[in-house]
Amino acid sequence: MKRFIAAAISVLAGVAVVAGVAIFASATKGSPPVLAATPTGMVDTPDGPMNSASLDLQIYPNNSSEVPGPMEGVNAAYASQGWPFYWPSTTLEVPANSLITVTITQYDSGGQLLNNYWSRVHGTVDGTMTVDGKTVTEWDPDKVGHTFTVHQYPESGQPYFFLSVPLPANGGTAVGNANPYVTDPKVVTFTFQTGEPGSYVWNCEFPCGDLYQEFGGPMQQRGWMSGTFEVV
Amino acid sequence: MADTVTPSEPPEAPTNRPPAMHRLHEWLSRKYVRHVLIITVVIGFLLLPLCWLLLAAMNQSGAPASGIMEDIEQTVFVFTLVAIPITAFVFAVLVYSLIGWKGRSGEEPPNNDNPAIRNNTVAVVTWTVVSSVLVAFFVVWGMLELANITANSYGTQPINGQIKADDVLIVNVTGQQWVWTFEYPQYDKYSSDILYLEKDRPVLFNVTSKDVVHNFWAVELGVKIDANPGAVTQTGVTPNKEGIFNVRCAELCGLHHAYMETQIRVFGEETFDSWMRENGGGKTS
Repeated sequence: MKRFIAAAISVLAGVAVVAGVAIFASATKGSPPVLAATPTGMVDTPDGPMNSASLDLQIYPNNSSEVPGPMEGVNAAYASQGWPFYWPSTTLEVPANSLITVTITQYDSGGQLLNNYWSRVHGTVDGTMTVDGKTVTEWDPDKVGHTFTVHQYPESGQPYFFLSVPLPANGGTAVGNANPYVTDPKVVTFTFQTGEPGSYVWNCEFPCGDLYQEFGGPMQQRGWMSGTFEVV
Repeated sequence: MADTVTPSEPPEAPTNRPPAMHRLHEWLSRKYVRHVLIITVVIGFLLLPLCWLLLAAMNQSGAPASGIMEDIEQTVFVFTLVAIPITAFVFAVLVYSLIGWKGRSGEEPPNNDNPAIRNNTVAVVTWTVVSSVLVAFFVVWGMLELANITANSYGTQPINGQIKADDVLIVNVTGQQWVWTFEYPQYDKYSSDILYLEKDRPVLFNVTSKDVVHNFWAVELGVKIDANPGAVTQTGVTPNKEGIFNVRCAELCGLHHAYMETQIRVFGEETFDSWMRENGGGKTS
């Protein structure tokens, strides 16, 4: 009888540990809600008529009463850290075989890139982007705030996809942990073409986080400076 | 004078020990020996297909695209083949011990006063010699293959700042959370997120990192080397097959480590040169 009770207690203890881990993982999980690109009709391209869509994003240096920032799962615990973040979501969805125009309004400051490769525009139509209406192919690597870099997912059978644009920094002392935010943010627009459906990730390549090499904090937690990018 | 008696050799002690072959025959005729040997053969034949499955699994991303990777796969295959009979024998003894010598219901447990287990010289010599031969085989094979792989990997390494072969393609590899970038100093510092190589042309990789430790793993080329921040590590290879292959990060490096992969595209000479020219990478040296 003693043996049976000991075995039963052992099994129950094991189940409790596994359940505890599962509950903790479930409670701390949570991705921002899906932000789907808005269809904008058919456009003419050199390859013929094509669907198009647009996506609007903002980058803030910290959360505020106007913009709460990511609050899903464990992100709620980080909300008061003063981390920069993409808004309104980092879980992005765009249609396949379409022209996608992204507009990013950048309120944050910046600095020097560690790798000048990210100061150039990669993967957009004509390899260009516009900054406050001006068309450019690259940006000063010493004055970059963030990057929007979409890259490959380790899954065979989906098209190779790579896209990276530098997002200019806002200068002056008015940025950083500013509240209210600067009134003259940098507005970056770029267009790219999607292929067949696939799953990708994106992240910022400018070290804008905490701790070692400023790659901690928001750089290591989805919902802030990285997320998923689904072509559907 | 007393007679001296010369001591003679003592007569050979009589023995009933049968000849070695007879003893071997008698040993093989024992029930448990036959059963263990049969189980060994059965498990061995069951494990053989696993050897091929292992190779198939290794080739899931594509067959080897360099001499180095061919050597690595051959080594894994041969070592697995050699390990099969050993594994089969160990499992056979295990299985027979669990089933063949299992206590029956109602049997008394063995008497602790049974005679002590005695040494068996033949058995000790056999397993010592067999183990030594196997280990020696692994060591010699491994060292020869390692020397071969090292020669192929580092045959392109600069010595006193001089590249050994004139036609070596130099690629500066940079790892950064969580993307690889490749720069070609001989082609106007053309840079890309895809690794472009030329078939049958030796390539020297200067590998570094901009943040944490990554590991540059060109899977089908058999190249794997750490990318350390603030330092440059070097290795090389000669692709021997055209096609599309994979680069992955083999060092846990943060949130999107699992996504840190890209493509290798190996072209023929003409295609490589024209591709570089068309993409702004004019040859400078």
